[in-house]
Amino acid sequence: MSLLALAPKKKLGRPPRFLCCHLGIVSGILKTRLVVSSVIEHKRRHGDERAPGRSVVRITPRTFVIVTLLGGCLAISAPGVAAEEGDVTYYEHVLPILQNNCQSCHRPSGTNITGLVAPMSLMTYEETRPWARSIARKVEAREMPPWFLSAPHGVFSNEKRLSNAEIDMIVAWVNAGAPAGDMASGPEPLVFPEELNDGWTLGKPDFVVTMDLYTVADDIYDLNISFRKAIAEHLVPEDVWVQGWEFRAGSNGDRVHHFCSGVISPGEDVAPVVPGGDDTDNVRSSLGCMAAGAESTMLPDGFGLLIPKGSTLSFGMHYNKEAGPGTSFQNAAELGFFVAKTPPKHAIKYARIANEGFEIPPHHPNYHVGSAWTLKKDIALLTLWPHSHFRGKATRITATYPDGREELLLDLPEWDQSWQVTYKYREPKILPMGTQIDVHWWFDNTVGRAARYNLNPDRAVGDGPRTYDEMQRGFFTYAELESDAVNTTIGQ
Amino acid sequence: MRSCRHWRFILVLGVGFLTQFGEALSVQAPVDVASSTGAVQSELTLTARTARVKFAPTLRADDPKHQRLLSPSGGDGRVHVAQLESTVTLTLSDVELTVDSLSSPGHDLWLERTGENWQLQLGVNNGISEPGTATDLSTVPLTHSVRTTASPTFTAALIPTDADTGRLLLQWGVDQWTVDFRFGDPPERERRAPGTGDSRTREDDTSSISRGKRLNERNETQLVLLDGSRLSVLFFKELDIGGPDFPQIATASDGMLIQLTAGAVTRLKTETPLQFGETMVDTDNLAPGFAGAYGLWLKRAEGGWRLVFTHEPDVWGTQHDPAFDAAEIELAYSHVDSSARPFGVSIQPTGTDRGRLVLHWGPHEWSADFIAAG
Repeated sequence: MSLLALAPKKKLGRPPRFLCCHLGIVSGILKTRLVVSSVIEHKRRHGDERAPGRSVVRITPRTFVIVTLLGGCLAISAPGVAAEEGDVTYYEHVLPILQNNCQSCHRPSGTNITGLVAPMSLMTYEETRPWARSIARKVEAREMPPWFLSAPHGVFSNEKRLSNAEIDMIVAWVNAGAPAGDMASGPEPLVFPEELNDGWTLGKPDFVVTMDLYTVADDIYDLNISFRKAIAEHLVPEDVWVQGWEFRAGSNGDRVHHFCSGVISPGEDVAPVVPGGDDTDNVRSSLGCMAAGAESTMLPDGFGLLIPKGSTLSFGMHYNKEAGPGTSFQNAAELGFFVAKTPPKHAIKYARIANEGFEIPPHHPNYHVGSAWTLKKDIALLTLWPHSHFRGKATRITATYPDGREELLLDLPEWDQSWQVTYKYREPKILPMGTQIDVHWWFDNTVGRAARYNLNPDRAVGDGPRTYDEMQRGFFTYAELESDAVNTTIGQ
Repeated sequence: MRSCRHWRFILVLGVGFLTQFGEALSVQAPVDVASSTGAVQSELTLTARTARVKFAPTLRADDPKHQRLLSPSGGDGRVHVAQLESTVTLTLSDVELTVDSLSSPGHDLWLERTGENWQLQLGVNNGISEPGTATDLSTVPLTHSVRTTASPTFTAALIPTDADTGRLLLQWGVDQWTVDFRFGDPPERERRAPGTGDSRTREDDTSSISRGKRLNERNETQLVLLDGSRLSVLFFKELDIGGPDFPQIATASDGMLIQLTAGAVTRLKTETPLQFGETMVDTDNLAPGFAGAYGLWLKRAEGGWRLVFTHEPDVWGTQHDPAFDAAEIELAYSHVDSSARPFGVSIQPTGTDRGRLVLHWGPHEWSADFIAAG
């Protein structure tokens, strides 16, 4: 019998109050430390002071004194937090961290985000203990949990990032021999929404549209293919506003590189265009894409997407596998929709800021490709999704306001194409008309990168549909606003 | 597969041209043809429709046998000067040339003079080089002018003038002729029916797909020199004089660069080093053995204009970073007419190893001469 089964049930608790206070101080110091390290990292990685992370913080003597004083305070008070290794146990200290940050992927159900399965489960002490040292290494290196932004912090609702104190806690636990501690002091096991909702992470959808089953043949290596599926009248008997939707790659989803979709209204003339065309390029009402690391979409209250009665969904599928006998598989991707409870105030749109004309030279270590969009209306920005492929190295998105002020929207100094994260604002980001959004990407076409991903660095690379080609993209979900609404919000 | 066909097409085009053009010239200038090593080619792509004019730089203006034709006091005569090809229908003046007749080896062009009138005679290249015996002959009037500077040999160039239109520019000695042309509608874009895929292997060459995407959003001007070196400039489409960026031309202060909010930076790619006055613009600036690639920025300076070359050819038109500046040259500026041309670029040959880079936007025109120094 599992030790966990014997544990008394307990609600998920917050860290002790004294810990919260100290975490506040730590995070203040940490913020400075991280920003500085971001600048240094970018200089190292890009050899360019104008690369992501620049111009954020300068250490002045005053800052130094403040940091030193705060550090002193912390040094005095820190032992009470978690640094004493003997006090740290799995149940009391580590399990809450794992529940909040790791278990959504590290669990055996396999119905987690977009069908991805993390390589090991960390649901119980028995499952976690063998990986203790590896966990400590990963969190110290900030490779886990997978949150790649160096800045900004605290603005995205899906931020997965351990505080320094949490990292110290895990390291202290491992150094102490990874003790279990008293099971009664730990929180209840988590119950994930998809376990109650047939695998859907946002709850049970109001309606689900599944594409027809398709067989990817043995000889296929890389395939872009689009399907259409009319939304049955009994699912959408009249025009409907949806607030959320969730992509599911379906069976054999691990061979779906990405999956994009859009709503095609009755009478709308949309046809995929080759070469290299993606169905969603031409769909006016896009639902965005699902790729490894992506999450489902639930818009904030007041925002929605209209699906007219009689609409058709596009399924722009990109399959990728090794070709050969026995590699054939079948797939039927799904889209689940969540109907808005009240008619939304703002209809969302989807923008793609891209540069499709680039040519990355052979062997270039740090090739900069930029694109930009100047807003013609006031908008509320809801999500950002930077996208490139294997040669993508780093990305940065900025907003330059009409008055010349520049704000960093996103800085991702070390891109990993395996994690196509959509960054979701906690609160809609209001950007006035005339603001310029710049999307910067840096690409690495050197032998070292090529060796990691089996690429050919001797060739120049342009925009193309295969994973082995490249893309320079920034995808944005937003809603256009009435100017009065923007002024009110900015004024607040 | 598409890409292979494309390159085969170019190869066949090249071989076919050398064969046909050699024959065509043999009547007019047999001596020159004997020493000819190839052709110079000016190419213009607007919304993925491409026209190219090719000429052997062997027609010297001071050649006695052309004196009667080029005489300032009037004359008559006819000389084969170039070949014209296109991927779509072209209308020169009011003469429509079908795409079939324009595909390689295309139309032969004869420059013809009767008294004070100049015209261009076009005939389908069918191996018969004399217009009098060729089939499908057409004649379009040319606008003639006399310049102050002279081209020692005949040159031809295609210049963009709007989204669908361009101008064929012929220069020889002090004489200059022009005729406007219009591209026909692009072919219907191939549509992929839902449920039919687009499969590729890892080894497939997808460069033609990349080029197709590039030309979805940009236009291109190219010059191919005698030795086969290629110079090209990609410039963003639809940068109209009514757009948000054009007014900067009038308001730019000293030192200011013209920003393109609606397009990427203008992109030069060159397979041969270019010398602009004392300034050398090299190949290999981004990777050894790779063509030179530069972003081009218009800069207001000391009451005049300069062109800044940067090592970042793929940034947006608002993302200039002076740390990546590579070179800066002076531009000649002229206010040509009341033209409403959108932003455009042409590379006009002025000899076998030289040319003129010309940028224009509305009535404004900037240019700089260069020598291919490879």
